[in-house]
Amino acid sequence: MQQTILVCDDEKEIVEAISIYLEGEGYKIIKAYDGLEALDILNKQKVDLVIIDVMMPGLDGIHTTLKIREKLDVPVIILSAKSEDTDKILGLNIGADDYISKPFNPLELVARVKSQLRRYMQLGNIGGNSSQAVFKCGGLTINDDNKEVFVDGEPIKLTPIEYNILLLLVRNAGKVFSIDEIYEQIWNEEAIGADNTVAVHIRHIREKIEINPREPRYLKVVWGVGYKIEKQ
Amino acid sequence: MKRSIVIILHILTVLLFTAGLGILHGYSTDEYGITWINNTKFEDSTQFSGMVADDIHNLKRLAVLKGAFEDGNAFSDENTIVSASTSNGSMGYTTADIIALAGRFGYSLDPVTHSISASRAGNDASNYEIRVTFKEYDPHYFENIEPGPSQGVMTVKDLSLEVLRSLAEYYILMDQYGQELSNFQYYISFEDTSGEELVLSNTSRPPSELQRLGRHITVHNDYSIDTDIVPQPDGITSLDNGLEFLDTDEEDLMYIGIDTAYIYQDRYKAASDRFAGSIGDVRRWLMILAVSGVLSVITLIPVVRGTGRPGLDDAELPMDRIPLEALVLLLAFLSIILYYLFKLTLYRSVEMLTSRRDWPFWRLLARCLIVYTMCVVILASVWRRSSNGGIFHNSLLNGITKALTDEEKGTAAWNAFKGFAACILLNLAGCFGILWFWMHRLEAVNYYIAFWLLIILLAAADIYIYVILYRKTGQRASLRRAVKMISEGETGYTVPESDYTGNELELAKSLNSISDGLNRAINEQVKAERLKADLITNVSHDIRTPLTSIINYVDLIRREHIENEKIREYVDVLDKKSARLKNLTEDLLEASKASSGNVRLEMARLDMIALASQAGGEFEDKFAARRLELELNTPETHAYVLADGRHLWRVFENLYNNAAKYALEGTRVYADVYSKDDNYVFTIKNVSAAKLNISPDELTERFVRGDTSRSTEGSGLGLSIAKSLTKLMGGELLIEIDGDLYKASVILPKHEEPVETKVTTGTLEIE
Repeated sequence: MQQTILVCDDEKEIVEAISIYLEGEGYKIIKAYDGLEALDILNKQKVDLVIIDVMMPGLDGIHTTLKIREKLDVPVIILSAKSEDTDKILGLNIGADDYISKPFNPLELVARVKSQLRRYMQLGNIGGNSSQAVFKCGGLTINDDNKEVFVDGEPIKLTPIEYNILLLLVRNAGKVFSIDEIYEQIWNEEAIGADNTVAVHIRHIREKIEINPREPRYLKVVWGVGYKIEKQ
Repeated sequence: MKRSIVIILHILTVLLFTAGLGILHGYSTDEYGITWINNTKFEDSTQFSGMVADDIHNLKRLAVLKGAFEDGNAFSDENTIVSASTSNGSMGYTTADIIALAGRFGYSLDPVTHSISASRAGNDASNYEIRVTFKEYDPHYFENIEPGPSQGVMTVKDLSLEVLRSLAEYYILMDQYGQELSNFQYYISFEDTSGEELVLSNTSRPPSELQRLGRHITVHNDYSIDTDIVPQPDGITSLDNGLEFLDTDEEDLMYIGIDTAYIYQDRYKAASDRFAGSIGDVRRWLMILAVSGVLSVITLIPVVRGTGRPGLDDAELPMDRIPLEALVLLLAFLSIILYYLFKLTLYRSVEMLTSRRDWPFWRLLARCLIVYTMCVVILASVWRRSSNGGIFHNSLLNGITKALTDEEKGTAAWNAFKGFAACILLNLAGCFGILWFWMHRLEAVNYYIAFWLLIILLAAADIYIYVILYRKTGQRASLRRAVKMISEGETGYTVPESDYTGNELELAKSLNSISDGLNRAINEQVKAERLKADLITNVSHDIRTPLTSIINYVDLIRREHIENEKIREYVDVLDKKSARLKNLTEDLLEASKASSGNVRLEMARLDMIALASQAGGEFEDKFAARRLELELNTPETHAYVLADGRHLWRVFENLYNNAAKYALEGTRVYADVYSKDDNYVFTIKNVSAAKLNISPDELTERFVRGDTSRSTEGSGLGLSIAKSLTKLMGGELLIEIDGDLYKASVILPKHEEPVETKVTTGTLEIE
């Protein structure tokens, strides 16, 4: 089934570029150039995902999102030139599901759109599987029975060490593990001095499970202390 | 030459000079000082002529006594030596009579020692008064006493004692001048009162030969003197006195000769020897005096003005800060104390070591030395003052002049003085009035009332003055507090003007207007800063939207599988530059945020070693891409510091990024974490690929990078932000460049105990 995405930005060229990328992925695109237009479209037809700019004439992205959330639970990705933490927090707090700052990497945009759509579509599907060996953390799922890892339903390939590290962190989500602790748990050896082995593995895991490894959603670095999986 | 050496030298020479003065003083005579050394021969000295004068004096006396007690050049007690008139008429006493008389009173003359001894008192009743009219041993006695009824009256006891004494004198002088073995030789021929021819001599030589001796005196019968002794002794020029006894028959009557070969060991010989010795001593001491005098004058100059090492000898001493007048007074006071100390301690030494004649001289010398020392100290201070802002720069006189001529201070000082004087005068007058009324209180009731009234009035006035002073002090204290508050950053602080009076009110008003202006200026500045930051933020946001399109469409073009090689190249350029533009806007935003706003700090205990290995992990691929080998060395297991993890990561990220970007390909990058004193230090070292012809300071300044041409990516803001962040966390980021070796160190204080995360804010200072 072809999924419909509403793209709303006052810059026509940006809407056009996004359309090109997403149509290339097989999505149906509806274009809007301000908040009111977007709300109008949403009232009229079914949309699976909304990408909306913050700074727009008329109704801005924030208010549009608020309005959308009054009726719909469709995923909303905010697209903004503002990259400040406070802007992101604001956007996410008023009901947006993701936040992408301009200028964005087209590939990242596509990945995030896919991720949001997968979660939206498959919501509740995996939740029914109540095996003891399944650990979940947001869109991250680990099935320890067959050693499989899914991010937003998409299977991920990890090496055994990477898998063990991730499992350790997910099972103790929220707890910060120091490098030495991880080393001792995974390698079953006493940690000897500073070594970037663990750090390298962590980076590799991050590159595999995160859309943007520089701004990880799951595997966070606690600088100068260790690593943890964010409890979600 | 060191100044201390000069000072010691000066002290020594001055002391030597003083000692020389003292010793020469000892050699000097009362009348001529030490001019006697001009006469190289003893015979020409005043000492010599003084001795001769003494001898002549004694000889004159001996001649008289000889006439009295001798008969035919031999002692005889038959001579009548005293005539007296009594009630029984005139009578004479012979020597024997007198000795007998003396015996009655218990007096006797020892023939060997020539001393008079008195045994138990004789018969008092036999002591009666007589009128003595003539004494052979004192020929002019009677003429010299005033005529009258009591002229010449004395008791026989006194008379006998007097005669006995003269007899003793006779014996002594005969012993002294009777011997022949003397360098002093004489011949005197004379008549005694009885007309007997007598000769007094200690030589067998004929009188004329005496004139051929080294020095001689001849007294002629007309009392004219013929002598070669210069200077003439006092006694000689007055020889005529008491020489009436001399005979006028012969041509020459008194011959004296001194054998200047000094063949006999007598007092002349001894004096001559001593003279010869002391002339040498005096000459030597004169030399020493001259040399030490010159030396002390020469050394005085460097003592006073230093040895000319600028900034060292001229340097101000604590005493130069005392006003000049006060210094002089202080030193004068010190001199007095020193003098009294000297008096207490050294006077006895002076009295012990020198003769009484010299005591006043030594005391004076000591006083002079003390005063001299003080003068030198003052002079030295004056000299230093003159090279440190003028002699009178720091003096009461100057201070008073300044205070009076300075318009502002002068008025203030005058006002303060007026108030003070008025207060004193009021109190003096009041007290005087009270006293006056008290003394006269009994005279009238009104006085008594006035007495009490005046006390009450004066007390009231003083209380009023105190209240004013108290209030002013309070006002000044609160103004001081206000100024302090403002200076500490409470720029909006104002004081209620109604609380102040007079000058303080004026001050309070000015203070309020300063505070007001300051507050407004700061607010405006803050507003301007915020505007600037907002502008930068907005501009970079505005740039981002078109930039998004550029990046996206460049990407879209690249996806079009263009055949034309050239267009592909161009698109690559567009891709790279638009990416760089993106980085630039991000950095710009970061810098503007950092420099304008507050930075949130979440301070927690971190392990720099963990951070270093995390960073190593993050950059592993970047290092690998440029074939860089990262060597992490950590002697310790943990390096706990207090820092904000995200900010410290930014710093590390920047340093690792620089190493990854700018290190020479295929080399090693060394990262170390070690402990140094109270800090943990992280260093990262690499060999730069580009030439580092730049100072470390420039590297951390805004928009400067290792290569001044700015051809590679990055805005150069990174290091400067990293430096500020480290500083904000209480640490230090140091960049060192040694040739092409680039070394960055992050130094943070140790913090071993775990702590709760503490959130604070701080402002970044970006150079």
